[in-house]
Amino acid sequence: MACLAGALVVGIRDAAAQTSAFPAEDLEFFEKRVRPLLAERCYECHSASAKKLKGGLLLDSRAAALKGGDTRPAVVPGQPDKSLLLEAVRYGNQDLQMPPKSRLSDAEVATLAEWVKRGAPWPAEAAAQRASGKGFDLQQRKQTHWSWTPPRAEPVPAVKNSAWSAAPVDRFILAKLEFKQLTPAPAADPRALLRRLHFDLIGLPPSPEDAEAFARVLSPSLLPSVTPSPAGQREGETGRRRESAIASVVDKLLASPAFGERWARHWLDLVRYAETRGHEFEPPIPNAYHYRDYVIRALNADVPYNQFVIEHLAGDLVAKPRINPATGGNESVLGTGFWFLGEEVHSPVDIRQDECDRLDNRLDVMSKTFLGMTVACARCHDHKFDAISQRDYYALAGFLISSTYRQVPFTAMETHREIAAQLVQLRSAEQAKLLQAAARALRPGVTTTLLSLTNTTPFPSTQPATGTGTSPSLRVLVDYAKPGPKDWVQDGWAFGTRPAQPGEIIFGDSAERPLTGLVTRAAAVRDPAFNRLAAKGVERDVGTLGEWERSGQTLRTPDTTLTANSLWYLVRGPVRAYAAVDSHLIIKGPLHGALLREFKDERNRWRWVEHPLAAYRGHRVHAEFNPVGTAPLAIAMVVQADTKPELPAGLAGPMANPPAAQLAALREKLLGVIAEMESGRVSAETAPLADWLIQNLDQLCPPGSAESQQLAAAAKPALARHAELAARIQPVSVVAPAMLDGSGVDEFLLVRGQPRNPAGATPRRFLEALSGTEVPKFVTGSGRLELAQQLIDPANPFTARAIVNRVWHHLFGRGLVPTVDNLGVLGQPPTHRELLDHLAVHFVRDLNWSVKALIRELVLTRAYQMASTPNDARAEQLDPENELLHRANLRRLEGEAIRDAVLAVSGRLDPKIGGPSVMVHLTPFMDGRGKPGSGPLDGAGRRSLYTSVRRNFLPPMMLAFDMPIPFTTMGRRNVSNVPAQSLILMNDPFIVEQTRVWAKRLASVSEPAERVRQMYLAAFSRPPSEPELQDALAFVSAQAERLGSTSADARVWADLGHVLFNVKEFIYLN
Amino acid sequence: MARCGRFQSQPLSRRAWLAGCANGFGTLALTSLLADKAFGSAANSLAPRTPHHSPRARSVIFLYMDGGPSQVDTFDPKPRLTAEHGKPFGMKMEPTQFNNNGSTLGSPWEFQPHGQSGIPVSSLFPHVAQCVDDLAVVRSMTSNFSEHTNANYFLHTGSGLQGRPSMGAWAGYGLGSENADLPGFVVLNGGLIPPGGLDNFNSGFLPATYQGSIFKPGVNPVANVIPTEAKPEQQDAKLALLRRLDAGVVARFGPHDALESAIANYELAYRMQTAVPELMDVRGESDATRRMYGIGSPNRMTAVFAEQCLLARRLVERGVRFIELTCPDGAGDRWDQHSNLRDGHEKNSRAVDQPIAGLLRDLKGRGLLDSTLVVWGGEFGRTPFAQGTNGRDHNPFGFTMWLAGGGVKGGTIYGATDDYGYKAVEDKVAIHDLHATMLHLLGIQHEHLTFRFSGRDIRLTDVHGEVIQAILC
Repeated sequence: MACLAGALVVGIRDAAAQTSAFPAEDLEFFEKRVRPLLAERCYECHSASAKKLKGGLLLDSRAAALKGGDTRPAVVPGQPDKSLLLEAVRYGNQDLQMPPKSRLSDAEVATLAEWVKRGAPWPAEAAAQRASGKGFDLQQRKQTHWSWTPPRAEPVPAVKNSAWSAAPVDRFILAKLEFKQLTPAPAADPRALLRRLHFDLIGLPPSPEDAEAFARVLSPSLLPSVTPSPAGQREGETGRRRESAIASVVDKLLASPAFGERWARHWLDLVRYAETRGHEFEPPIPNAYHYRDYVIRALNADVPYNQFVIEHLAGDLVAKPRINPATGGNESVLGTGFWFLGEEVHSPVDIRQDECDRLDNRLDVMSKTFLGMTVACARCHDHKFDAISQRDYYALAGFLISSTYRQVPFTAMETHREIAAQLVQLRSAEQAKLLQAAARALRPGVTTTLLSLTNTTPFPSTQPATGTGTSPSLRVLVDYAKPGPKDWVQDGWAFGTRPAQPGEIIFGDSAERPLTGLVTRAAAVRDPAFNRLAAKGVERDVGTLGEWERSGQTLRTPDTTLTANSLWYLVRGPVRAYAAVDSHLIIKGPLHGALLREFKDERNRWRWVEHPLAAYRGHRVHAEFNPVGTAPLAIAMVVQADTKPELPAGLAGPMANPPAAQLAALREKLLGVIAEMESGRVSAETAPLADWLIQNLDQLCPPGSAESQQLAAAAKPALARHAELAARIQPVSVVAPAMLDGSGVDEFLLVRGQPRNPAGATPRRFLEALSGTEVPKFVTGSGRLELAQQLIDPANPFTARAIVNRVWHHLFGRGLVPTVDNLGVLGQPPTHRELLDHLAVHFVRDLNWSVKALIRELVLTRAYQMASTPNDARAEQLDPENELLHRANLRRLEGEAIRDAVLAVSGRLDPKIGGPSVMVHLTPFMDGRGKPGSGPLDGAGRRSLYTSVRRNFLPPMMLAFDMPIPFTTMGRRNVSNVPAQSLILMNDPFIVEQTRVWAKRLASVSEPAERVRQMYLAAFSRPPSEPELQDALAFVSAQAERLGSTSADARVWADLGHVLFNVKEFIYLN
Repeated sequence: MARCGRFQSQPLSRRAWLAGCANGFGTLALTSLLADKAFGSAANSLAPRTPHHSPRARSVIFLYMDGGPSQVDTFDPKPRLTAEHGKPFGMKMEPTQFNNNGSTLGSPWEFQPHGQSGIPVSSLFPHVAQCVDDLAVVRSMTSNFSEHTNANYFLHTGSGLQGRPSMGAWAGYGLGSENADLPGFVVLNGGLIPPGGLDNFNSGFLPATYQGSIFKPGVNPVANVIPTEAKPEQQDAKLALLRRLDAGVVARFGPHDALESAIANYELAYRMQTAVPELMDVRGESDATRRMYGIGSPNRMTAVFAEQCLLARRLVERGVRFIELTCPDGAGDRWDQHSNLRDGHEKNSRAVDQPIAGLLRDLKGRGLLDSTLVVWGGEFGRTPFAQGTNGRDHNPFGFTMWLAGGGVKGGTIYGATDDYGYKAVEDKVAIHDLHATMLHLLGIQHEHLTFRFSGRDIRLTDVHGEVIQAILC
């Protein structure tokens, strides 16, 4: 270190020493022409006295100018054309134009050029010192903010009123209250409590019957008092009865499928769930609802939260995926769909900038959701407040650019995985036998028929082909003859479980043609068993990419940086190729059509095909291949090159009309090949000829001949087995958005977040403050699984705290850290740090990450069950924000819960769980590009989370009631109070319609007072008071009079229902 | 409990609060200190607040020219384009949306100097040309995006991505509204919602209070503002019962601010049911006024936009803070003339020219122009070279917007593009600078209008923005 500092000092001294050597006229030129120019046009941002130094560049000393700013030296003495300063002032580079507001005059630019040309003369002088701001000190930041320290198992504090509750949570709450000499509020009214439990746990009101039954069990005489009663015994008895009644309600609600629906909506707020990609034309995020249903199922199944996290980060990579017991489908892989729920742009002019914005959003959502930290703040610079460096941001970005999007056939993939393995087994088991049988069938034909074959048959070349297929000028992305350990990546198993080797048989699909050929070169070879795969009845991506059959039959190459004009594919058979440049996906519109290319091939011969991509030089790219129809396909190599590569040895094209002498030689050669086949093994050199024989089996061994029949008989058992396996393949795939792992690529650190300003690559790793700078050893290409493991490591201080705090937020109305998505410096500090830590530790250690167990424990506390009424003036004074929880919080229901309650009360609610969304109902105010057809006014009676979430057509009622716009993590919704809310409840056709549905349902209750009672029980879970009953009856008859009707008229009851929907008790929980 | 307490730190009595709020007491959201509290639930989140400094403008009318009008065909004449028409373009061409770049394309329209200032305006805007001495023409606008959607979000929210608050929402957040019966941010929808959809007018992470309310042309302009009951007394009876029952809720639940605010909210909603139809009822406007705007013009689009402009004035009169007009539907593809520039720009300019001039004159005649900032422009400009043969592609590197009224120095030209009108080279103005200037004229220091979200104190101007001092008077 000392040595380095010394070197720096010397460096500066040298520079200073040099300056004195400038001729006087050069110095005069500088003083007269250059320094004033710099001062006038540059120093506002690039001097020691700048209010805010821009780009880290100082231009007020020669040394600083030579050193440059964040990117590279600004001045190269003597070389204006190599000096960044000149590049900037010449305004030629769209990304670097200085001064930013107005360009210099041509004369001024010439002055600067002249100055640099003269060697940048500058008199010897001391450089002005910039008062240095506080630098970024990661360790210091980590040590000074509470949330970086892992949670400790805090001892449960002692309390005076120990009789209030023995639950540790209550003790933590009570201790703080007692410290302020406050007492907790009394227990909530049973009906209020029941309502609270129902909305909190399942998001729906209790049925009138449930409300009545619960109230009977918990009649007020059985409620415990705050102070211990002298009649301890009886008190204990009733207390236990009360507790068990509450516990059984809680257990029932936790077991209800509606629980998953309620809490899934909370989760969807975190992952900015939507079903379209927004932007101009709203392309769909095809089949996104499977992700929503996955979350519902996972919550209902109480999948441990740590596993849930792993599935989100790397569910495609877990060794043993979670299997859906009902469908056999892969559940784990669905978690990765969350990465792709954001916006995507259809024709970005700057494709890389667009990618960087997408990555930013994904990292933002990931870090806020799982860590409660704002990592994305470090995209352009080290985090302003938290112990997160810019390097951390790009280290995480690498995990994402190492992974791609796919529509995964999740229901079939596990079965197919097993079938693919068996197909490989079958092939090796039958390989020798079938080769021998084929040889027997071919021998007579080669001996006798070959020479008489017409010249319409192209013959294989017997010339030894020259060249290896590689040359120094081309760069190989992948050669399936020698793939790297992580190069074999596909969605599904259509290309088998490994590259096929030369000489291996390829099964045919009929008795007459038991073989379709031999593998002639190591390659990814399509297994015809999977030929029937198709994604049917599912939503598709827009554009050509969506039209291609991709799911379960995509081969993915490693990534590379494009340094040539084209990618070249060595293929046999027709193929569709998608050059995934900067992970750009929405290929529809004026730009980027070149990323997709279909190569036809009728002759089934090896050839190089060119994918021209000159416009994308310098960009990151990999290729994804798909077969066409049922045609065979083999992919051997992918390279980048400016000119067509040579065809490798042995794969040369056929010859037509060979002279007789050559044909005779060929026959000798082929007889040798047959002999080799009879041995049961074919070498790589022989494979092309053996393949030719099998391709031309019909000519050499006519169908129906004895030989042909013998071959069919010999192949029959193997074919039957093959057909049996192929028949088990589910041809129609159900698909969902998910991640496909790719090759490991590290992202560059982008100076000031600018894609065109890359510094060095940043090795992939987790946050330095948590796991150091050492790069973990990755088993898979991207390393996401290892990242996921680090996320759920109990030593990570954030993951458990974040989720425990979120659950608390939803149950108590405010998180222990109120800013649930930000546990960092700019978040609010915890109100109960010890309780938060206690819960975080308890959740992991004792509850095994069970969210249901955590919820159960929390709602059974006295703290949760308190009344919300502010009736203690002193407490309101001392704790006006109720931060200490001296009572329960009054809460307004979310838009979804309000709408669901309307449906539940009116009787229209359809309890169906999951499935495709119901199209949003379009009001006349919902307009714009990509406008869909309108859905039904009542959303088909389905719960609100089943209304389609189209980014540009969000439901107005939900927006008015603060449903977040799905663009980033929103763990805590706004609770606003706007006239649109009142106008909706007063005048919206949906509300009015539901009042009529409700009134119609009530028609069977003939007695008016009983009808009012039923309505109150349905809407508020309580019967009306006597004055309320009288008010209602009076309203009904007066309203009937206004209508010129009687109180039997359903319309007046609809009117009463309408009023009840508008009463604040309907949308507030006390 | 402190729900309108964005402005207070020490607890007041709840009643004192409500009283204070009702009287419009409060100060600007100067810091984000309290921004993380759920203040949006207060009944008065729209109440007027004191600005940072003395404002020049009380209201903003943003005439949004969806699609991107061509600068070189409207307010930025370039003789060199005409001279080199049909020749290869003389500068390096950046990638464009369609990458189908043709040769240099001279403007098909004549430019003439107008007014005292002599500012040149093309023949596309004969009416606006008469008002040119009120305009500050900024010829050096730049944007960061070449695609409509990103550029629209950027223009409206200062960020190219979805989800940020629109400038109208920021203005409402900073200043509140001066009309208790109408929303503070109104979008007069002419029929075209720009790419990016309604989120261009949303409140993003700000409370829903501040989102733009879309007023549709026609008899039913605001969602749910027309009662569904056949007779008013039927609704009155409902609301009378509701008031009684709500009072019962307060008695049972206890005195929570949120409850009382929500109840008060009904009164506002109720008043809106009257205020909105009253606003839309333009029967009282004189024939001269109507003619000035072009109401009843045989050109349907002119007629539609004229009504929007007239409504904008009426909203200004009612103290609405921020009014945005979207273009009328029916002129082909907005201002987005990738081909047939001549036809499309003529249709679009005919739709807006007379109504805009009418608006400026009417505001001026009523003494409202001084306190109303009018801003005209699109999300970007167009290329000076052709797309294909007769269109122009998107050009974010240099384009024109103009401002008028509300503290703006009329008859000014600010900034310049190069000889071809391709890129801004003098006094470049970023969208952030435009936002900073608009906020400045409203009395707000843009650096200090922040909302804490996502671990940052977020501004409309991100970390940028400089007020364009030279166009202020």
